[in-house]
Amino acid sequence: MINAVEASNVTRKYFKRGKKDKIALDDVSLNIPKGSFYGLLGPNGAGKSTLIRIFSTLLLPSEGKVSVLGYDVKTQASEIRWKISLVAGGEMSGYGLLTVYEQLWMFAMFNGLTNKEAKNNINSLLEIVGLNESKNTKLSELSTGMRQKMNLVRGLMSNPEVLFLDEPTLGLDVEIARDVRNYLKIWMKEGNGNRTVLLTTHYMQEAEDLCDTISIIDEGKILHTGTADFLKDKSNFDFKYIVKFSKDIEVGFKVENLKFEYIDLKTIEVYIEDSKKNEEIFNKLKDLSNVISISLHRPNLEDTFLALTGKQLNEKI
Amino acid sequence: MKKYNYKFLLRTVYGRAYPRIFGTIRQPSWIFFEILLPVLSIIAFIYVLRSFNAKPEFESFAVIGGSMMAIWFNVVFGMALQLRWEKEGGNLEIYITSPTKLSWILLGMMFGGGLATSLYSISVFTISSYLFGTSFLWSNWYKAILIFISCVVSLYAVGMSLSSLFLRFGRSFEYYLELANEPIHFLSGSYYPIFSVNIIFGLFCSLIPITLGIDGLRQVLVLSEYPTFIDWRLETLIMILYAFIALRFAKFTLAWMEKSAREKGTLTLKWQ
Repeated sequence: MINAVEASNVTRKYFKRGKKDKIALDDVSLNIPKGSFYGLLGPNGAGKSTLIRIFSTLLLPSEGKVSVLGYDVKTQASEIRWKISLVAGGEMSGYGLLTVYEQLWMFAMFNGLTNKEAKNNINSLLEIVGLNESKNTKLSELSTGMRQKMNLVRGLMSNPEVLFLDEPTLGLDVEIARDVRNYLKIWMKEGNGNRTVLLTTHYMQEAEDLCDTISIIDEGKILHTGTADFLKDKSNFDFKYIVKFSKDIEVGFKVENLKFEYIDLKTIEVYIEDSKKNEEIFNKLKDLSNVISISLHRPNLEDTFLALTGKQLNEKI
Repeated sequence: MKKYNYKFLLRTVYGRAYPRIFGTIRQPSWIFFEILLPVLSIIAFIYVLRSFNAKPEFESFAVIGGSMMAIWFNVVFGMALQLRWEKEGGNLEIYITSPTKLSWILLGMMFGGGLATSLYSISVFTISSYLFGTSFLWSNWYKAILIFISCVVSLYAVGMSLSSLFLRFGRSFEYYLELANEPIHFLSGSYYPIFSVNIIFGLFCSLIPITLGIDGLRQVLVLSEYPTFIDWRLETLIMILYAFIALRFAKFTLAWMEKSAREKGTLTLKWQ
């Protein structure tokens, strides 16, 4: 299979005068096959954005070799830029005095599109993401969600071969985040295997929902790579019970011989390492006071991350 | 693969000039900041000149100098600091990752900024001349336009070459630029004929293109008994030469800045 992105032994250090070097990436190697929807899952500060910035020619690796569509990021950046787009979450680019259409048209000019191509691509994409009504609205009057949809249109209007998405749904409300994810799925499908997406996220569900391959990254290192199902098998248990209580759980709460984690003040996750003990554990849990529901679940990527790093992917209490 | 040709260059230039021209005009505050404030400054100078019973030609000098200073401020704050502002606004990383050349985007800023600034400058000149009935040699209008365009292009070219340096060296340069404003008023001879002070001093000041532009305009627009040292034709040629050198220098500094910023990770605000 041909790779859209190849990175071998990539290290990236940041130098700060008078301070110890910060190692953002430590000997990272990964290949992203052409046509894949590839996810980089990790907490804030894991090195996801550094990696995507190296791939999108904004940063140079301190060590190692990186190529995008066969072009070297160090020496052939301009060739790469014809074929890629970068969309970042929380991006506030553009000029507040321009309208949505004018702003997109300006960026289209920088991507070498003709006026006709720009007009067609912008109008059809605005229609698809539901921004057509707002095409004459000034950027300064857009909500965060509308602005992010516009950023997505900017990233897609040049029809890139490789799309880099850096936390694209960061800060968006649930409905708009779902719209963005749905449109990305359609866009990939329309590409008939010629489009590649690299998505960085710390939202486990987003990675699971969109990506066919996921790499888990933490402290600048890739810990594991595989499909969501493959990665889930890397957790330390077979099943888990999610137990909800009607009242806040008391400080010092314990369940004899069981491993558990707090989800919130009224919910815990209880891990089952041996599936034969399911029933026995269930009986023990249902006898606890104030229990209102118990549900059985397979491990998710969050659990895998916990097993691999000993840390939560997203912050909990 | 698409090629880097003149059509792509023109699209980039027009694309980046567009917000400079149309975006700025949509913000009515430009009438106050770009027109009324410079006119007020000229009014103050003219009343000072009148209180000293200065010759009427000095009023013409003040109108030309005051109108041209509008360009200086726009070059400094609209061009030299532009890349840093683009970085803070999140646009720089989109510019860098797009296939166009950063130097072409800066040319677009220069073109759009030059047009907008010319509009401001001509408005200040027209209003001030009307208010005080200052006299000019209108028959030399075509010479004045040539000098004016050469001055605008050379100033913006200098701004373009400085922009990548200011991006590289950060916020402290903005303070130095602000500090330089008052001396530039003096060194450019905005309100007096620079060569009337001293020829050596005048030549030193001519290192700043706006000094040559203001002096050239005075030569062709004002009938004055004050001698000049450099003929306006030579001044125009020097300004064109400045523009050429500054554009070459800008190309070099942009390439250096991009390489250095990619190595150091300073192209984006989000560094992790």
